Parts: sequence; C-alpha cells; structure tokens
Amino acid sequence: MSEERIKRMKDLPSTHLLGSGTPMCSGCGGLEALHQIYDVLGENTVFVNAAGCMTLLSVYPFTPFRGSWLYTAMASAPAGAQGVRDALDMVRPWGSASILQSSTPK
Amino acid sequence: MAPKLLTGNAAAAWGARLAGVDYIPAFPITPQTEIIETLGAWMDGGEMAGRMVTLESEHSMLTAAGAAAATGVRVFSATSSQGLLYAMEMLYTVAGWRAPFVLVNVSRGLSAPITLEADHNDILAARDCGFLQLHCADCQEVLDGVLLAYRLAEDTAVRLPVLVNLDGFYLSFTREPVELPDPGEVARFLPPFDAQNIRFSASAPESQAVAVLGGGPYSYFRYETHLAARQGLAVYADIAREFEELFGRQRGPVECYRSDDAEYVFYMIGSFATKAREAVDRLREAGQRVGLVRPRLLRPFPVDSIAAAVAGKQGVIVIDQNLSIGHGGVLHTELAAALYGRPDAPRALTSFIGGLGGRDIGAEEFYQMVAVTREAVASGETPPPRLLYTGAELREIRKLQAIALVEREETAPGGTRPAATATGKSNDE
Repeated sequence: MSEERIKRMKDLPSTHLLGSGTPMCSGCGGLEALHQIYDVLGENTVFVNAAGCMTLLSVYPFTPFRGSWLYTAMASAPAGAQGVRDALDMVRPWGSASILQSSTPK
Repeated sequence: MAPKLLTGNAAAAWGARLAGVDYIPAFPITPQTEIIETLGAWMDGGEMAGRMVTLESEHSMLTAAGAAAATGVRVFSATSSQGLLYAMEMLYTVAGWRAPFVLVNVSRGLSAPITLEADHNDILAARDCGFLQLHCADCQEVLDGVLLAYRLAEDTAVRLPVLVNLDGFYLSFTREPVELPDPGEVARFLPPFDAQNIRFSASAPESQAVAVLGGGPYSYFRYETHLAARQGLAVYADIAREFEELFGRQRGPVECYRSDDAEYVFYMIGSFATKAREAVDRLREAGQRVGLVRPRLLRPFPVDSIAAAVAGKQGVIVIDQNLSIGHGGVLHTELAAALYGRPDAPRALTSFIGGLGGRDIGAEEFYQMVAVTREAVASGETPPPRLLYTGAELREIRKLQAIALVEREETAPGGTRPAATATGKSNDE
C-alpha cells in the first residue's frame, strides 16, 4: 500500500486484481468500488466482510480474491479485521520480510 | 510446588498464562472481569507475553477471537451470562469457522430479573452452537480445564472452540488451594499451537465462512462439524489419560463419586456437585447407598460413559441448575434421551430444579430428593419436575411483596398515602 494521491480516474491502477465471474449484478457500483480499492491496496490484502450483497462474492468453492476472505456477521466486520490484523502482527509482523516472502501464491 | 490460594478467576487466568496464549480480545463483565484484569496486569508487568485488545462488545470480542484463531495464533477470552448471550450470533459463527480457541464462561443467571449470581442457563443456551463444553466443580479443575480445553480444541480431529465453565461467585470469587503445574510439564502436555491448514494470510486465496448455495453443501458442513465434535470424545479420553499421567489428577469425561455400588445417584454439573459429595458422605454414614455422577464434558455429550455410570441404579436424581421455561431441566431431558431403551437403565429418573440465581441447595434438600426418588421407585410413578423452594424462602418473598404492595397502594393516584404529618412535614422528608 502506498501513500500516493490519485486525482483522476484514469490514474487509477488497472491491474484488476479482483477476479471476474462473481454472482454480483452486472453494473454493480459496489463491485466497481471494490475493484478500484483492491487495485489500490494491492495483492497483500485480507478482506473481512459483513452481511450484504457482497456475501455472495465468495460462494463455495469459488473466490474472486487473491488473498484471504473472512465473512463475519452484520455487526462485526471491523472486529474481525482487528482479530486478523492482531494475529498477523504476531505470525508475520507488519512490514517484515515475511509478508513479502508470502506474497507468492502457493 | 506448594498449592497457592487462588480464586476460580485467578485459576482461569493461570490456565491461560501457562497455556502461553498469544492473543486475548477482552470485554469486562461481572463476575468474569478479574480474569482479564489479572491477565492484563501480568502483561503490563512483563510477566506474560502476548497481546490484549479491548473490544466494544462481547459480539465483537468473539469475532476478533475467532478471526485471530483462524489466522493461526492461540487465543483466549472470557465472558459471562448477558455477555455470552450478546455474543450468541458469533458463537455459532466462529464454531462454523472451525477456529480452535478457549473461552471461559463464568456462569451467572440471565435477565430478567437481572442478577449477578450463578446458574447454568447462560452456558446451556450455548449448548448447540458448536463450542465444546467443559464444566468445573472446583478451582483446580478450572486451571486444569483450560489446559485440557486447548488440547481438545486444537486437536486435528476436532478443530473447534471450547467453553470452560465455572460458577460465578461460588468459584469465581472463592479461594481454594490450587496446584500450579510446572511450566515445563505444561509445555510437554500442551505444545505451541500448530495451525497447519487454518493459517489465514494476506496473499493466499484462503476463504472462511463463505456462502453455500442450497441445503446439500450446508448440511455437509454442519454434519462435518458435528462429527468433529463427536470425535472429541475419543480425543478427550486420551488427553485426560495423558493429563493424569503427567499431573496425577483424574479429569475423565465423567466424575463418579462413590457411585459404583450406589443404588441412587445424584446427577449434576458444576460447583454445587461438591455439596452433593458432602450429602453423599452423610447419607453413606446413615447407611444409604448413594453416589454422585457428574459430567465434566457436556459437549460432546459422553453418552456411553454416563449410561455406564448409572447402569443398574434404582434411581437417578437429576439436579438442574437451569430452567428450560415451559418444560423443565436441560440435563434431565438429555439424560432421559440418552438412557431411553437401554435394558439396564435406572428405574426412576427424577427431576429437580434448584440453585437458580445462586440460590443454595441445602443438605436437607439433597436428603429429601433421595427420599422422593425412593418413593418414585417404590410406587413406580415418577413425580413431575420439582422446583426447590423452602417455606422460609416463601416467607421472605411474601415479606418483600408486602412492602411492594404497601408502596403501590400508598403511592397510587387516590391512594392511602397521608398528605402530611401532624408537624406539617411530608412523609417523604
């Protein structure tokens, strides 16, 4: 993740990390936002979701994400993210080489 | 090492410390708070490694606990009563994630009316969620239970979270001599958490709790969770045996106290079973063959161990410190289901509700329950569930009601409240 300020749509990265073929509706604005956010955040991203349309992004056994995805519940996605962040800090500290080493999909 | 005098809460905290937990998402609630305060103080003082984070609710606390466990660290948390119920949605959810960690519940009666004291309606509300359950009768069992729970939870044949239950006040704030196991021995019994395939990461497509379409896949995963819990029976038997070899304390799935040659046995869980042990000793002195059968493990339910422990008895006196409103006691129902159709099942299974909201169960009541059960065997007729309540208690509640009635009548519009006294002052002053 970088601190770069993006001013124009055309300056957004177009890497398209999010896979296609999800059961989301075509033209979904949320899905487009997710596309852009994922491209900005980069490959080393964990998604923690609460109940909503985007529950259907991952339907067993498919996932459009290159990183991990955790579906929590209506009220507690931030808490789920807190738990993942805290645990990742312990198993592979933030900014450590181990994050980069693990960036190659196994 | 000489035993230390510890509260049940401190014993739970020692269990977590000796288990070398990495992460403690926390939220306070009476009578549990001492557990996280103790752990927090140790972390502050550098006596314990790991990270503690306070969340904004028990619901969030359980989410963070499950998420961290799914990421591959050893997680501990604790709650009680209203907190456990507030987290109920996540109890089911994180068990479905197959995230192994340990949650201590300090039992406390449920609102309404609100109370602080113990009964088991809170923990039994979590009976069906997928957490396994260990029930403790004394402070030593609390410490031991936390260690056993980690072994059970993390076993690759199980991979489920485990609840360790102790009774509020009766254990949480009662000091008992507790032997602290040697940390080296604990490390032999409980090696570091090997997360293997449940390690969540930022860069590999690992998904947890994804949606399924249709009842087929849904049923498959629910059945898998159930079968993993059932596998916990054999796993628990093994680790309890190993625990006994290392630490010399019996922690099998069912405690049988003087029950081998007993004609009648008490059947109950939790700290009040120590009162039953005392009653058993007194009844034995009076020449009555009475014993106690107490499940430590309630999920997975050790049906065969329990059936064997009560086989051939005249009667089983089931004491439920809970009340399934509109039906009766949860333990009674489950025991009846477990024994139905077995040729050596006891002749009578009597049901008693007692100890709600910390209400004591007196020695005379234990004796009386045996007498009622003898009568049921003799007559061949089992009485309906009995709600334990003494004449003295009824007198006390009548007094409270009398005060409430006077207040209501005197303060009601057009009531009998005197407007002013002879000195011209209002009664309120």
